[in-house]
Amino acid sequence: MTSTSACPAPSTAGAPAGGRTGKRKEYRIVRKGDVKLPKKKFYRQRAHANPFSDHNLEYPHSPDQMDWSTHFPAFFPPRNESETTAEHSSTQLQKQVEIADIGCGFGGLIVSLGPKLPDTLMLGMEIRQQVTEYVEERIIALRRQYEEGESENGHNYQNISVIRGNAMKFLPNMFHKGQLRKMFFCFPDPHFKARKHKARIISPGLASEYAYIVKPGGIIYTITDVEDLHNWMARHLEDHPLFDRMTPEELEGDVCVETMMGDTEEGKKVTRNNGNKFVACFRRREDPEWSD
Amino acid sequence: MIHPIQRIHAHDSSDRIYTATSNTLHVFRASTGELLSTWTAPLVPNPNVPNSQPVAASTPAPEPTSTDQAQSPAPPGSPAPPAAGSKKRKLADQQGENKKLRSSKWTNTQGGCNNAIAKIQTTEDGRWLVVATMEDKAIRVFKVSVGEEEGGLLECLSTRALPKRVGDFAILNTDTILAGDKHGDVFALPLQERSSSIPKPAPTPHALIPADVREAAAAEKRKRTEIDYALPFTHRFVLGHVSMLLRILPIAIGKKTWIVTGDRDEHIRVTRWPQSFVIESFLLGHEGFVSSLLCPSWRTEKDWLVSAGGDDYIIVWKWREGKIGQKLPLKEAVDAAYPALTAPETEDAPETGDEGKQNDKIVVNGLWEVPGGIMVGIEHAPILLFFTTTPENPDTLTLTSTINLPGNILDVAVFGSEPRMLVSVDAAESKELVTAWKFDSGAKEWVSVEDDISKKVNGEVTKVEVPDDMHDIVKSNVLYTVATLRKTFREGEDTRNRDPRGKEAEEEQQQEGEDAMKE
Ligand SMILES: C[S@@+](CC[C@H](N)C(=O)[O-])C[C@H]1O[C@@H](n2cnc3c(N)ncnc32)[C@H](O)[C@@H]1O
Repeated sequence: MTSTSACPAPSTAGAPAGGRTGKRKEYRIVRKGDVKLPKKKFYRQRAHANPFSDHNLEYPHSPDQMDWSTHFPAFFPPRNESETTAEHSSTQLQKQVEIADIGCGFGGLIVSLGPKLPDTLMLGMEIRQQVTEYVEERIIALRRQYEEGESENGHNYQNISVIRGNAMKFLPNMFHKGQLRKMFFCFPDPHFKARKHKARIISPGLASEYAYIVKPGGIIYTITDVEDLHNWMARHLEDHPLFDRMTPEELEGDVCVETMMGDTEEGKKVTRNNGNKFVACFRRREDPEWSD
Repeated sequence: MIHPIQRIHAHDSSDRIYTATSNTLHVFRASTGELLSTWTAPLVPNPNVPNSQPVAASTPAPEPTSTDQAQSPAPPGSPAPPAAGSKKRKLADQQGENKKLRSSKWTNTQGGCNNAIAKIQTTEDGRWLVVATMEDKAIRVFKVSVGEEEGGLLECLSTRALPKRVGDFAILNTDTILAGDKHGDVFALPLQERSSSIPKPAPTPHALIPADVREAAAAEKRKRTEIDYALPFTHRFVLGHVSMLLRILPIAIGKKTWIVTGDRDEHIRVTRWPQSFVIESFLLGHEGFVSSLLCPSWRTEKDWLVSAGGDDYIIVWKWREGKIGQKLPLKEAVDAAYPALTAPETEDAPETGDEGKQNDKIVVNGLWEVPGGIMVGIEHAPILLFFTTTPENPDTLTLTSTINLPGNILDVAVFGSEPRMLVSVDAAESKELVTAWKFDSGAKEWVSVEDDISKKVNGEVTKVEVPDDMHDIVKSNVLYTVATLRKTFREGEDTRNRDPRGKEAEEEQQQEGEDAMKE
């Protein structure tokens, strides 16, 4: 296999998930909240997390209990002491996350897309804890840079955030039915072996779940450098009655396609290695008629 | 320990009670208690016991064999089956061998290979019986002879082994089985399919002429995107959870049908049928797994869904609106009826009086519908909680009474118009397998009765002695399977490095990780 989109293999391959070496821990404590961008090497982690495991994840019981004020403080008033999460969330209906980057890795997509769609809230979701922490630190640093007048592009990065989570299990806990306008699957883990295909992030069952989260007219973007995986994702979304494959004409000039090709960490790596990039995008249809 | 009855099922119009003791099914006539038929699921070789193979080889599981047929205990006046003599001997042999195998297994600490019956369900008309067994992961369909042709015989029509253990199944419209496996996939299988394995047509190799090459490449590409569910029989993928699937409940209202599914990750999902690619809603409110779902038919609009499992409460949903109607706490009732369950383990262990925190000893092992109410079973406790609506409050459930049982609750079958209830219990001392209850409509209470059916069941069910060192295995694998679904984390632990689907899946996943790093 010459080119795969497996994420960077960590230097501490044998270390248990969540294990931290003294050096990394120290680095992270020292740099917490630093205006400088964090260094990736201190946040690497075993390349694969088992999506079937019971990760000790924190997730809301339902989207109503999601406290978005910690993610997007500029858009949501912080919750005050006496409020319950549910009460609080009912006061914050004015804005919703509308873009999700599933398996966002080191966050390249949302960091690049944030300034291009400044009025849209977007969330990266990543299952690996240390990688999520890196993205968190990265976003905090970008926000600080803006506040201290050191921003390069004049964007405040208040519209992007990241959350640790298992997208194959808990998306319905975070998003309401039809909440998302766009959903990205950029260079997902390929899971080459046939018997592993159920671990792939696109499957007939999961496609129905994504259709539930994405509003009719919304778009699912996929990109990979692994042709087999591309065929796989394309086929299962094409076969799904709630998705239509989009034509190149429909996608022409779509800023999202350019961004996922050029600005994701994996996309850049594939470019450096002169690899292929396969793109397939799908529009969510209306639910079919269902009458008594 | 005598093996208790882990599953009990009633079908009214055909007047039947079905019981499962380990891997043996008994069929009784509900009104008289007459034992009509028995059937024993073939044992499965224990992979951990190398010398358990020879015996099992003669009854290769899960393929049905001629001995995989129900046996009638002297059906009066029924025509003798052809070659009855040889069949009988074979049966006797098998039983002898079963015993041998069982003992070799049950003396092995890995145990649990007795292929216990996990679920019994009949079609609405009572003519078909569907049974799921644990170790061979099979779903079997039996034709039930009732009425005229009744000979007490059950005829096993098909045995379909799923690649993964059956988490739950349901029967839709008397012609479709919805089977959910432990990995979260739900498949629709035709109820009537005689052959147990329709082999997939092997692609006939033929010499390629150049014009075919492109087509062949396209076919190859297509094949590589195909998911191989390894189901060698007619099936249709219906839906998938990335979680252990614990309960499937179809609800039909007018011309519409929904499939409600519950999983180990606290989700209840409502899916359209047959357009199962459309998820109507998620009902989110549980903090623990969802292993019991019930849509009481006495709500004529079928607007309620009751759910329970790993929480110390049950939820009554107005499911069409996606709203919680009631959240009914159980702790007080459990404490009042059976304080031993929630008592702290040691004297000086502090009362975990964390307000708002759940009591982790309380787990619901089942919900059953009775006219105007529901029964809630608490695992590891000898009680049933009886909730009803009242004329004053027709739209809320309240705890009406608690039924004390002679042993821990295992399963409940409700039948008859009176109505009656047959409750199977784990009562080592009293040696009672089931107790019978009748609803006294005057006193509005369930009263214990000793009727023909309970007497016969207690008397006629084949007693299986479980060796001492096997008690724990039978308990955790067959009798008390619900509480083990809990997720447990140690303080500060990031990932519970155990794949809940089992060791095999865990190792696969491990391997995958390592492969990916090498690539
Ligand atoms: C190959 S990386 C791609 C990262 C990024 N999208 C990019 O293009 O640079 C795939 C990422 O998906 C994450 N991932 C895998 N399964 C996931 C799941 N079930 N939920 C959330 N993230 C997941 C992995 O941890 C990994 O960081």
